[in-house]
Formats: sequence, C-alpha cells, structure tokens
Amino acid sequence: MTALSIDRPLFRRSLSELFPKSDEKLHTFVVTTENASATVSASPDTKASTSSVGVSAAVWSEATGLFEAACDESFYDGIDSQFSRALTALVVAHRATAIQVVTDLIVNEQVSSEAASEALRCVGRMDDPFSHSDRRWLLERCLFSPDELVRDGAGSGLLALNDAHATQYIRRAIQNETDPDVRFKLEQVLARLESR
Amino acid sequence: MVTTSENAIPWTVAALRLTLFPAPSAAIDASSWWTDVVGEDPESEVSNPRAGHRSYDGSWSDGRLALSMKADRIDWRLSVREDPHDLFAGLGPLDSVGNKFRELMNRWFALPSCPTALRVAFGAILHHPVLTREAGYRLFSNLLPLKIDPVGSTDLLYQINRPRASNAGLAGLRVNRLAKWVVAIGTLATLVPELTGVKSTPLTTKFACNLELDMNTSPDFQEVIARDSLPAVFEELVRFGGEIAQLGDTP
Amino acid sequence: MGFYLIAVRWSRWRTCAKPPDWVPTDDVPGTIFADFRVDDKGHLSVWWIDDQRSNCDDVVTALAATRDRPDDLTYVLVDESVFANLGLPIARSKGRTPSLKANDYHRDVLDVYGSRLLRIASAFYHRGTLQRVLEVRVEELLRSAVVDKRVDLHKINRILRQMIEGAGQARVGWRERLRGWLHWP
Repeated sequence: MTALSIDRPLFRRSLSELFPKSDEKLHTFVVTTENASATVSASPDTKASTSSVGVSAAVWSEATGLFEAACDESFYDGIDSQFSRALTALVVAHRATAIQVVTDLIVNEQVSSEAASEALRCVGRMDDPFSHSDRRWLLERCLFSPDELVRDGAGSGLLALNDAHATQYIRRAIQNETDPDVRFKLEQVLARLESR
Repeated sequence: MVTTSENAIPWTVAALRLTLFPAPSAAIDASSWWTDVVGEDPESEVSNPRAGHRSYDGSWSDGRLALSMKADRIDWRLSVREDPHDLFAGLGPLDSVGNKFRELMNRWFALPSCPTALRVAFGAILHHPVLTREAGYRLFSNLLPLKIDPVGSTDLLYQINRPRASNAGLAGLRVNRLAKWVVAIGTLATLVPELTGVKSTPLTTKFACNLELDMNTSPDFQEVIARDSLPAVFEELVRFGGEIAQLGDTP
Repeated sequence: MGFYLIAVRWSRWRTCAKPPDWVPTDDVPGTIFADFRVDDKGHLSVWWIDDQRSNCDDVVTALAATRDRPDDLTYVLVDESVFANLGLPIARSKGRTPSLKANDYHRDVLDVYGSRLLRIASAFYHRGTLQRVLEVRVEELLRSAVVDKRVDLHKINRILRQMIEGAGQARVGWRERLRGWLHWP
C-alpha cells in the first residue's frame, strides 16, 4: 500500500502517465487529499499468483522487431542506444509480459549476442520494482549462457541491478567461467555486491 | 489429515497444476521427462523454437496430462476431458485425484534431470454444480467470512491470499495460499452463421461453485529448493489446498 | 615516444589477439570500423598518451565523462612509431570533454580516406594493446576527478552527474516520471 498526499488539481491528471497501460491487474493504493480520500486501482499483486501470463502477439511482434532492428545499430559503451531506449519503453508499457518475451528470446538464443548483451545491460538498469525479480532471474540465468558476450552483459546488468541475491549465482558462474575478461568482470561485480 | 467441516463442499477436480520455476543455474534437459514420468510416449508434441516453448500431452488416468516448458517455468497440468454435455465435469474428489497427481509428480522429482527450483506452485480448479446462483452463495456463506445476501447479490468474486509459514523443512520458507471463489455459469449454446452474423441459441445454463487454488512458495524466499526437498514442499502445498477446499477461507 | 589511444567496444575487439579464421591475414573484421568515426572534415579523433602512460587515466576519465551513463570503457593503445611509419598527418586540436587538462591530449588524424582508414584500423587491431577499464573503476576515476575538480561537473550528462554525486546508480524509471509529474526537481 502506498500513500501520497497531493493537491486535488494534480490528482486529476491521468494515472496512466504514472503507471502506463498494462495487461496486468493492479494493486490498490490510497490517495488522500485535504478533504476526501479516494481509493484508486493501480498496480498488481501478481507476486502471490503463479498463473501463466499470456503474451499478446503485439508485444511479441514489437519485441522481435526491436531485436531485428538492433542488428543494424552499432552500440557504444556508456551511450544510450535507440535499441535500449525502445526496449525500456516496451518494458515500461508492458512490464512482466515484455520481460517474458525478452527472456524467451535471449535464453533460447534467438537474437544476436551483441543485441542480447546490450539488452541485458539495459534490463539491469531499469528502475521498475514490479519487474525486478523477473529481470533478476533473466540476468542470473544468462550468467550460464554458452556465449561469453551474453555472460558479460549479464555481469554488467547485475552490477546495475544491485541486488545481493545474485551473489550466489555469480560465485557459481565464476567457477565455471572460461573467458578471463568475463571472469575478471564477474569478480569485480561480486566484490561490489558483497560490499553493499 | 484435514479435518472435514460439516459445511464442506463436495468438490470435484476440473484441473490440477504443478509449476516449477527453475533456479537460474539449473540445466534443463527435458528430453525424457514425459516417458520417464508417464511410462509411455506422449500423444502429441508441439515445439516453438523461436519462443523456446515446448509442450507434450497425452491421456493419463481419466484425464489429459500436459507438460509445457518455457524459459523460466515448467508446468505439469492434469485436466478433465472436455464434454459439451457435462459443463462442469470433474475427475473426482480432490483427496484422491490430488494424491494420484502428487505421486506422479514425485516420479518427476526423483529424476536426476529434474531441476532445482526457485519456487514451486500447486494449482487447482474445483467445481461443485448447484441448481442456482443463490444455492451456490448459500454454500459459500458457510465457508467464507462474509455476510452474503444470496438472493440480492450477483457477480460475487472473493479472492484472498492467506500466507503461512511452511513446515516442509526449509527454514524461512513461507507459502502463499491464494484462493478465488465464484459461482460460475456455464452456457451450452448453438452458433448458427447467418447472413447478418452469428446467431447464438442457448440450450442449457448451469451453475457451479468454482474454487481456484494457487498454493505457492513465496518469491521472497532467497534459497534454491533442492530436488530432494521438492516432494515435501509439494505435499505441503497440496495439503494446504485441500484444507481450504474443506474448511473454507482460513488464516 | 608515446602512444595513441582510441576508445572501442570490447565485444568488437576482443578477438584482436586471435582473429577469427575467416579474416585474412593482416586484414581486420569489418565490425571494428564502427569504432572509427571519421567526421565530415575527414578527421579521426585519437588521444595522445605519454610513454609512461601517466596521463592515461586522465584521458579515460575524460572520455567516460562524455557518456550518458557509467559503463566499462575499453581502449586500444598503439605505439606512436607505428603511426609515424604509416606517414599519417596528425594535428593537435582541443578536445571537447569536460576535462580541460585531458583536452590538450586530443589529436586529429587528418584526411582519412578509405585505404588510409584501413591502415589505421589494421595498426590498432594487429599492433595495439587492448585494455578494458571496468565500470567499478570508471566510477572511481570519475568521482576522484570531480573531487579534485579535474572535470567540470556541469558539462556532464545529468544522470551521470547524479551517479557521481553519490545518489547511487541513477536509473530513469517510474520515480523519475513521478518527479516530473509532481514538478519536483
């Protein structure tokens, strides 16, 4: 439950600006103004449910289109790409559904390593509490990818995600890591997460 | 052993589900799961390599069994065969069907290739046919902490999660006990295409109490659930589901 | 003699020690050309590093400060003599990073046409040293440079600035939008 105190005129702005359209049900949070209180439906309590979330064809098509377009883009470290901006917008709009599609595409090696690596960096940086555990699962899973670029991207993503839950998997990944550059990175990420 | 309430509804099982969310480090080798668990080849196999989805299904016991796999979840589902003449058909009581399903899943847990888990879930859809909506609401009012007006109400949907600590041997594990209670309406109708559209003619309308259960380990549990813990965890989830079905909404 | 440095993306250059089989000897993979951005005057930016590499951290910090967010920074160093042997025209020109000092180390390779670019790329790929500075270290360099006032904080991207100023890893998510909606700074 989240409580906000805001002025009545501001309350009239659409909550869809704050919580964009989603195909999930919503949590309840209370917005109190000076003279009245109102209960509004906002985000879902999906964490208690394990029902399978369906993926709409539109989201699937949009996500695969992004990854295909990424093949024509050159990525640069530290510079936001068109791909990362579009991917972030997709996740903001569709949350768990979008992450499900990205997970399916990356884990099943249906996209280029470079695009997957860039996507994982982007996934780690996203600040969306509702998709946090799904994003973390994807990053942890990719630590064990057969592709060193994907493992490298997962390391960067986990550093950005900043969740100590990942340390157990990073330790295991370091033991199995064959690429010295990736191993060094994972060791640095582990050291940073353990120090927090 | 679940204490039977005198107000218990004699549910019949429409569907059961085991969902396992594999640990990120788990290697998934599903090549022989179906044959090792069921003892014979599946009747059909569907694969979508792009999406990474695979599924198998076939007959088992009196129902249909399906195994489906995605990147981050594995589902075993047992469901009643669809019968247009019996809108709320079932496989039998939850006790007996649930135990058979649990024993089948124990065969999967025993395989060396069964993955370690981040999370485990038991799902069930239960029916009990009733003559009218009001009759269904009267049955619910004995099991739910609500004052229901059976005559003056419609569209009742009661969903609640009652988390509880687990006693399955994993310290700190909590279980979500999510239940959804509705009185469902099933309508059998004929659809006839006409020039102006499709004409629907209802033949039969039936009511049934419907209970959807989702007993699952909390996603906040940080440890991996090892393969040898899975039988005890799943048994507890099935037992929790049976308890709600018998006793209603209980903390 | 010193070195010349260019910033590259690790994923494109990680094979330089052992090129793929399909790359002919003395040639380079086509993908590395993405890291050689020649401007409309035909100039290619490089950075001069002294023979002790004592200004290398300054240049790395300056380059990191021009980006949108903290990340790894990979670079390739090639010996100045290699460039000299190629007969490349090189001119000093002021860099445009937030670091005034590092800007003095900026150089332009002039008149970069096709075959010249290939020679430059080949020099870096086959005779350069690849070095990756990880994000954790880049953050340390940036923070230290801000404290010592070696970079102008106001010339740094807002999100990167927030990170450096210790607000944690800044991400643009629903909290940012909430701030914008409620007109909070």
